Amino acid sequence: MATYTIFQDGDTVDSIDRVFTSAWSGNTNDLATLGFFSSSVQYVTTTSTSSGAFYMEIYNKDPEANTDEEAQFSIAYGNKIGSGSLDFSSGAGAEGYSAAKSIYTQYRNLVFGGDETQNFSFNGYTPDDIYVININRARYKNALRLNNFNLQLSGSTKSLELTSDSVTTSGSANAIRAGVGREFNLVSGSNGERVGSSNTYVTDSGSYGYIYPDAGFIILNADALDATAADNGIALNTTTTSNNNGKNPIKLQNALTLGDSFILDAQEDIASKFYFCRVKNQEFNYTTNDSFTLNDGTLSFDSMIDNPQTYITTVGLYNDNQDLLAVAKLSQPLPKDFTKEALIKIKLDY
Amino acid sequence: MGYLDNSSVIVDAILTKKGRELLSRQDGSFNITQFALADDEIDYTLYNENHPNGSAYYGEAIENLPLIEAIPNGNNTMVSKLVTLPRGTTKIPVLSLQSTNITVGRSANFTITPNTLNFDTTVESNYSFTIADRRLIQQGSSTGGNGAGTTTNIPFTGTALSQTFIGTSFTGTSLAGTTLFGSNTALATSIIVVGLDTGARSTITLQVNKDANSGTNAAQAASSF
Repeated sequence: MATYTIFQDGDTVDSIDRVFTSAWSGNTNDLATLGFFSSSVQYVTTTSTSSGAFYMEIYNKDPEANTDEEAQFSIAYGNKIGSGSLDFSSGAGAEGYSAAKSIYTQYRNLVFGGDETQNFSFNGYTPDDIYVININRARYKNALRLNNFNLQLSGSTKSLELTSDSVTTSGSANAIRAGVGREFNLVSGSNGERVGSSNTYVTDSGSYGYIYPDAGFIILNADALDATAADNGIALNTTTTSNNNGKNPIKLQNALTLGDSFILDAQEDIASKFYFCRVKNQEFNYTTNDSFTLNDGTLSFDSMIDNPQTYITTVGLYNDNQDLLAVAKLSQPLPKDFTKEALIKIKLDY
Repeated sequence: MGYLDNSSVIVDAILTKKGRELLSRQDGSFNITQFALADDEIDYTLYNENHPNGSAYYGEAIENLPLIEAIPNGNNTMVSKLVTLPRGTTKIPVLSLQSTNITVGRSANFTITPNTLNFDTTVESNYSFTIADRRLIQQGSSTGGNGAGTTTNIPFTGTALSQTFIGTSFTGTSLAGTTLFGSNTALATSIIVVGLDTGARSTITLQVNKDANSGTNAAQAASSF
């Protein structure tokens, strides 16, 4: 007599499934169809330490008119000498210590480790400032999928269609950074394919930037975006005055809105375990179901004395202590009697 | 809760509350080693031995039943387990308890000693005693079975979690404090007793009165049920 069957060798197998979905809420393919909304509550830049001085959250819905909006990504502006935002303190020795400097050094530290001599360099050109698009962790899951990444930024007269060079390089990363993993170039093109043979499109300003799919953020070369349309920029007009509330994230938000396309997929690796529940003909042909018996345990149907018929609806997975750890339901009752055997394959995702 | 898509080939499992709790511990206690089958939702009174089309159709009404999705609360699923018994069995083992209601005051001891009828012996090798809301007891111990004789103090948790003891009998001590009661004069939970050899199952209602002197209290001898 038994109610539990112990799994034997070969009854379990591990598997990892890679699942791709759109990164944006509601599995929306292009976030531009929802819009790039910011919050007047979050994006406050009146003081040097306001959260808005550091970054601007972008939502899928207008936070002022909805209660179920979700943050999709953040826009931050970084400047290695601290220009473009207010200094934290005034006076000699405090110049340049601002939110913009904090952002620049934060991402420099992430990408290059603690080497303060390293700066973001775009195909040999080292600007003072960068923009960062940091995808919300809940949106990109384990990593960004690059092959269909498309970002469009527009100024008043010029539009840039940006993508990674992941298809062009057959998935070979530009570099592997210790803190953030793979680094790909942000190039002109679409669906991971670069247009032309060089990463540099902007006269005297280097490439457009980098994308870090494992860490979920994009670094944009501010000087390349500030370049004129004739030089393949979008004349973003970044404010680089020292100790100045430049509100630069709004400028990139406007460029996104004008560009009207931001397509990005998330990648999630789901670890699964399969359990093969083998039900032999001699097993599980009786049940403790109250409707199967009378009060004293006598079978309700005479025909079931020699040919009991049960129906499997539920499979419970237990540990040695008989704790029910997982449960699976069949889509329809599975008949079981002494002439039938069954193999039920249970998938458990972690 | 919705109906399952019956075109599924692979059955997806969900973690129970207990499973999530043990998984979060990361101490190896989440280790699936065995399975059991149940026929929850099936009402065998639908089995129609008078079906005009013959015996192949006796189970027609049951076999076409659409099943609901799995319930993550482990105390409410796997209620009626399928068991392996010799062919020709006429009676299914059932649990015998002196009472299915226990009413005690705070800090009171109580003991549950089940028997199994229609079985080779009157006592199975082990029973599982699952307290649906372990906050209502401060400690418990079992005799026979894994960890028998060891008194387990129940850690405080903000939410109702279950606790399972394995043995041939179970002794528990109701909670001592009054905070959990709030303005209630009594709290109740279920103790689910399952024979591990037969799958026979019975549910006991445990009521703990806020008044320590109402019901059996710790100063008195343990009550057996």
